[in-house]
Amino acid sequence: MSDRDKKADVLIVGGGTSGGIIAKQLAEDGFDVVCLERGGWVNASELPGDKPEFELLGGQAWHPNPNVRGSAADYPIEDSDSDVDVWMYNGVGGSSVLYAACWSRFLPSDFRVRTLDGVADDWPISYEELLPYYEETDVEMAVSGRGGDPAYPPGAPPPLPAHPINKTGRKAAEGMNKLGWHWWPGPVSIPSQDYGPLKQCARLGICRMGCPEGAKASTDLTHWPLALKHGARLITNARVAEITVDEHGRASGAVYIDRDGTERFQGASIVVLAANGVGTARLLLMSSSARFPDGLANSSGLVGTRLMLHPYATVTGIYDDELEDWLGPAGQQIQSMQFYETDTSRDFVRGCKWLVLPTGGPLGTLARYASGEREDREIWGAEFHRKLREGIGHTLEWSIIPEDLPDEANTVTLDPTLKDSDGLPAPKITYATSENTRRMLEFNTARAVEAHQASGARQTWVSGRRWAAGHLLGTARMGDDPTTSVVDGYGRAHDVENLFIVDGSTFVTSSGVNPTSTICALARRTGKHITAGARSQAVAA
Amino acid sequence: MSAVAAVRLEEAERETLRALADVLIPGGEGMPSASDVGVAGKWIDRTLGARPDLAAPLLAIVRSAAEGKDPAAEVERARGADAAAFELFALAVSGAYLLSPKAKKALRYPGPRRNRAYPDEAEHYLADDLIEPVVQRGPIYRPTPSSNELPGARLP
Repeated sequence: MSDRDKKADVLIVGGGTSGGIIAKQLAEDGFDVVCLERGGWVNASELPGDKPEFELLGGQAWHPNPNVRGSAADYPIEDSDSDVDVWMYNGVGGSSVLYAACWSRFLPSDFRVRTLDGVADDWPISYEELLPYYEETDVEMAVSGRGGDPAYPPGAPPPLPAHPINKTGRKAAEGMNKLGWHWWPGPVSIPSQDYGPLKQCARLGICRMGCPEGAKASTDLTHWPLALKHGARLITNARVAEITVDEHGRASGAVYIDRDGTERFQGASIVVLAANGVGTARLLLMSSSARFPDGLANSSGLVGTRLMLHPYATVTGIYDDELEDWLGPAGQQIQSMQFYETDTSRDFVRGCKWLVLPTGGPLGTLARYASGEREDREIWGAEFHRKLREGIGHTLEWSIIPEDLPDEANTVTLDPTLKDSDGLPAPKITYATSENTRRMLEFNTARAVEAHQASGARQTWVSGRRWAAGHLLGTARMGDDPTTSVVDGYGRAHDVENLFIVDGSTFVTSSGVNPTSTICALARRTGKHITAGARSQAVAA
Repeated sequence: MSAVAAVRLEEAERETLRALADVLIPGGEGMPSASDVGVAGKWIDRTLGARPDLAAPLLAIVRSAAEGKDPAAEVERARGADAAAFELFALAVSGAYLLSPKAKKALRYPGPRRNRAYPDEAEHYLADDLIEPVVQRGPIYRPTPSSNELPGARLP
């Protein structure tokens, strides 16, 4: 047997954000770790953000939608029955390569929505239990921010000082102060100073296309080099077809297709899935067997259900002031939790986080005018120059993340006909925005218009409503009851005692914030749990 | 990046594109037109190098524009015939235009550039006690049954 095929202590499927977190930690703790990642390494010189064509490249080769990108590393997604597009990145570092690095934690109430609001379900863990792992992953992910946000309970401040909120953040904050509404400098996993392998942010403002400066925490930079240094083996371009089980029903490894198209097997004592809300559900459903006819770890029937996607909205304002709205990080300048919690006087439950991000380049400016909810959407002819001159440098945009509550009708299933380039089933997304989410967006976009007016905008409009989602959550939820959940509070599958899930699929509810901070904290907590329980852990034969 | 387009336009096609592009992006008010910045030359080549998927829709509209006909009428016809294809054509034209340093300078748009913050810049933007009203209002998070487990907790 070659070293490559040697059975591992732990097999991780997915070398992305949460895979990187747990791989580093388990390798440092002495486990023999192997990771199968379907994509490859990102070469920073290929990233578009420092090139004149950045917007054109970001609209195709580096688009967050794999169906647009069409990369060999991606699998196609059948999304014709989904209200919104699904975004992800497949490669070492995963979606942390392309995320905006907005590093907001859940609020305490997010773990107790059933208790507090009578909807959905409580989590089996609390904010207080997760807090130490939030603080540890803040350090690992170079979080920059300002401590003392009154929207959160007390705790350690971020390890690095906050970035400037720039002219856009200040302008937005002035309006929020007039209204008496909450705002705070937005925490980001982007270093405000040189930090370990990462450089100080150069404020290119193109974070969502990957950072060519190496100034954004993505696990290909922050975690994988350390994991490899501690002996982890990372196999790229490895397309996992199935998680296998032994005669006792324990996970025994994975069958995968390597870069040459050869089918291989990687054995392991423990298997960890880290492919996020679409990929993990797809893989569990692809791993059906005589013992698990409905898919692996699916005795509850919930694998692939309760998909939550955070259909965003954006509200644009045009100002007379020179705002340098292209200046990064992007990244958020400020965030607001003013309308985050349930207010019984409204016609919906739960709420939204708001955030101000840089507005990007001129093609993005044109798109805001052309596709927004406004009467005058003409951008060609004489309007081309008029609108660009009006918008560039003078735009401020509030983005709004609504809490999407779980619904078993929103699903990831295996498409019966569409396949990836290896002949493996593509995932099919079935997703409809709920009436609660629609009302939530209606209320919050109206308030954001008011916020713009308070800040002095001379025009404002809803520039996006229910657009794409990169937050892929809930399709293998955690819980204490095996009949109503897929994994327990540590991410261990109820049905398969040596199978763990460490990505956004375990989310019970989605919160109204960017989920990566919580995904990473949960992954670290699961890793620590695996280490602590190693002596008594049941493993594959 | 200076990717070379896999598809290169013939000179006659560039001539047609020049005329059509000026309908989308005319000059005036201190701004150069599409032809003023040379959209139909190296900028469209670089655009198609970055976005080879735009070549087919671009060429389809360029080639269907009848020689000698009014470019404005041809643009309107293309827009009415297939709005989605027209959007891709227009994206190629505007993308090429906005690659031009001349256009960016006229727009006063610098593009992504390295601009690291200086050490006290974060505080500069919070001058005049901007954040004080938020601090003074105190905690706003919603307590849960376990909220008082944290040391120093000051419940809203």
